[in-house]
Formats: sequence, structure tokens, C-alpha cells
Amino acid sequence: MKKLYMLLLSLGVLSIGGIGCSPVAFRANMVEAEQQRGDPTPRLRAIDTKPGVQLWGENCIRCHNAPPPAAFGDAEWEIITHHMRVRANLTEEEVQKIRAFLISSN
Amino acid sequence: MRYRCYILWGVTLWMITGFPLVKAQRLDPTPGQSLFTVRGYAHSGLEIRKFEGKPLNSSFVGGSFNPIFLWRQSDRLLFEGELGVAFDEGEVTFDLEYANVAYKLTNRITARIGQFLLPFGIFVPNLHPAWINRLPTAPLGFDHHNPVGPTVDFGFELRGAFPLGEGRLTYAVYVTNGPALVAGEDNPAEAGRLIFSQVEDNNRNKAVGGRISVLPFSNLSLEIGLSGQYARVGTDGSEYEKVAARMYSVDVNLIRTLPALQSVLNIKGQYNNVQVDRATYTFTASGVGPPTSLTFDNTSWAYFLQASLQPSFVPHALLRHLELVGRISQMELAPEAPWGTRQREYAIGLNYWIDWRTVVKFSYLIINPLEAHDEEGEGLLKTETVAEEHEEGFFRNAFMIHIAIGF
Repeated sequence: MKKLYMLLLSLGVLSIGGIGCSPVAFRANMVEAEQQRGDPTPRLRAIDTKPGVQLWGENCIRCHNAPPPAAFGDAEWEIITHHMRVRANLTEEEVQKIRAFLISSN
Repeated sequence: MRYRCYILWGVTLWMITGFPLVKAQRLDPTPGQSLFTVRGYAHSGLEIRKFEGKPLNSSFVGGSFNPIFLWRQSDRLLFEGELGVAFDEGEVTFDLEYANVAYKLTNRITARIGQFLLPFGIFVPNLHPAWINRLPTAPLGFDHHNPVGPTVDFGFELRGAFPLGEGRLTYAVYVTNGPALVAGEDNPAEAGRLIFSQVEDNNRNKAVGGRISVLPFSNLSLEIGLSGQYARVGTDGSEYEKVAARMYSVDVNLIRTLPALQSVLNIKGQYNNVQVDRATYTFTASGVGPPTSLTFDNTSWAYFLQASLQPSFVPHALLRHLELVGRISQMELAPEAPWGTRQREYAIGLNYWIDWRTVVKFSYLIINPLEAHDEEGEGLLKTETVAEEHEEGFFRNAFMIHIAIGF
């Protein structure tokens, strides 16, 4: 049973590393494939179109009340959003947009 | 004369090295990347408890104070550490909740090393802080006293998230010291129990585990997670060194806006299951007499289901700050074990949010122990339960007023 767990863990890490280490290439291949099919405009994901304020509301409220931008200063938002990216497992795209919204609105 | 020479050399040296540096700092006032802050939470309150056969007990409780230290050295490196300071049974206790370093390897992979909250479900890693938990207590089986499943440990972890369709996929995989099995030679009443979060590993084997979750909708309103861990838990060189534990958890988190009620509905739930290999525990009851052997099905489980409703969009200002919450939780700790127990809890509460991170909780809890052994472990080999000894069973309930603040 332990060998099975180790095998699954290893496959998971390798898969994550293979995809995770080349997000740009992965995305570029998608766009290229869509362009070859004749799509004039690559299909955008929801994350690509959402503004920072929307991501802030949707993500924070899953655990706690969403903190207002004025609650903290710029330096504190830098740290807190970094901490939340790790703690809440947010994507890098989401964190960058949320951080930009909070710092521009506080 | 000699001292004047040393002073002269010292001033000269400073002028060569220190003065230009000072001058450089004066010309370069841009703040660095290193940032530090202290956040955290605290709670306290009044608890009125009723135990069977005893008068009503009323007491202010100190709660706890939990500072969280966050140091961001760069956009890749973050240190986090949390202390737990509490007043418990007449003395101040200090506890290191976690302390670890996280380094962003890529946009999709973050590595963590140290002591960290394990990604086993959602309650311990995300929902346990007093200002986030909607009730004053943790659900049965999800607190530090009788945890069913791992909560925090020392080890190494990789975690991250990907956009997936319209939503997101998150993952975390880790290797840690793992839990330790209590053999029971010194304390027969604890034989077969697992100790989670060892400071020093009791064997060469390491626990492996992880969590994967999916948020399928574009508004991230639903998250479904699956967690697991496998570990050998017996001490090296003992007869239990091949005994292993398999743990898994399923969790769900749903946020929905209800336009008809001008409210936000939040439903959270988690189920934990821990299975330890069957083993025979041999000891001498009360230290005298012939040895006794005990074998039992060492499976424990716990779950909670919580719903809260906050009328966030009603025009009345007072109502907007209120939140109604209800929770049911149950745990079963290896019923045939000397430490076996079955308990069910019903909780209902009305919270008043002073602001986004400060809440006053008015809660009523009913805890119904369904089966237990006494503290001395007597009745070790008996099958009768407390419920049989007390025909009506016994209830334990409490009314609590707690204030919690996140800072």
C-alpha cells in the first residue's frame, strides 16, 4: 500500500512539475492551436477577464469576510497577499490582480 | 601615545569604509524588499456550562492570544510563524502553532519547509482561527484535544494552484514525520492511540500525503477537496514497527447569494477517517498481575456540517451585521479501544459582526456523549457503555458569549 501511495505521489509531483514549470509554453501552445483552427480571438479564461475587485470578493469570502482596502497600507498588503497566496492556494494571476486592486484603492 | 595611534587608525578606517557607505545610504532612500508585519487573532468570553448531576458552572475564560509573524524577504521568500498563548488550568501555556519558510519556485509551485498546518481538509488549515470560526469551539474531532486526523507536522511540502476551465484546481503534496502509535506499556488506557505532530520522529518512515481540490465554477462559489495520508506509526525496533495508518478526508465549501433573502449562505463540511492496522497491545493492568492482551478495530472518524446565513444586503444596518449559524458534528474514536468514545454535538449561534474582523458570538451547544470509558481506563475489557450504566444517559450543554478579533 505504501508503494502505491509513493507511486501516486511521485506521479503527482512529476505531473505538477511538468505543467508547472512551463505555464507560458502551455498557454502559448493553446493559443497557437486555436489560431491554427482559424479562431481569430483566443478563448479567454475567466481569470483573464475578471478585475481585481471581483477576484478579491470571490476569494476572500470563501473563508472570512473580505477586508476593505483601507484596512492596511501598501507594504502590509504586499505581505498579506503573499501570505494568502500560500495559505489559500491562490493562482499567481489572481494574487497580482488582487494586490494591485488593494494597493490602488487603499 | 599608543592609544592616540589606535584612535587615529580607527577613524581612518571608518572614513575609508563607513563614511562612503553612510553617504550611499543617504543618497539611496528607496525601501528594500524585506517587509515584516505582525497579524493574528485573540478571543475571550463567558461560558455557562451544565454537567449532569452538577450545579450550573459559570466562568469567564481567557481564551487565547495568537500573534502571527510574517516576514517577506522578497516576492519569492516568505516566513510565517504563529504562537498560541493561553491560560489553561491555572497556568499560562505557550505553543508554537507553526513556523515555516515558503519559497516560490514557479508561478505554479511553492515549496514549504518547517512546521506547517497540514492540508488535510479545510478546517485546521483555513477555518480554525477564532475570528474565522463562526462558533466559539472547534467541531468534535477537529480540535487539539481529540483530533481525528493530522493537523500540523514538521516536513516538506509543494503546493500551488492552476486555472482549470472556468475555475481552479489546487494541490498540495508533502512528506512529514507522521503520527506515532502509543504502545500502552506505560499507559494502557492510551494503547493504540495516535499522537499527531511529533517533534522527533519515532521511526525512519515518513508520512506522505496531500490534498487536491476543485473549484469548478467561474465565481469560485464551490470547492470540493480530497485529502489523504499514509504513514507507518510504530516505533522502530518495537513489535509495532510495521503498523501503518491510512487517513483520508473529504471537504466541501459552498458560498451562495440568496437574492430572495438578500443574504449570503455559506455551507461548510468535512469528514475525516483514520484507520490504524490491527495490532495486539500487551500490558499489565495497574502494573501487577498477569499480562493482558487487547486487540480491537482501530478506526476513528469525525465529521461536521455547518451552515451560516448573513443578511448582507438588507437595508437595515443592524441586520446586516448579524449572522445565524448552525452546526452538527460527531466523532467516533475506535469504540472498542480503552480511549474509545462517541460524541455528537449540536450548536446554534447568533453572531454580531462589529466590523469585518471583530465578532461577538452568542452560542448554545449540546454535547451528547454516546459512549465512553472512565478516566482510569477501567472497564478495559468490558463492552458495557456509560449509557447502559446511566439509563437516561447524560447530556453536557453550554451557553457561550465570546468575542473574537483578527488583527
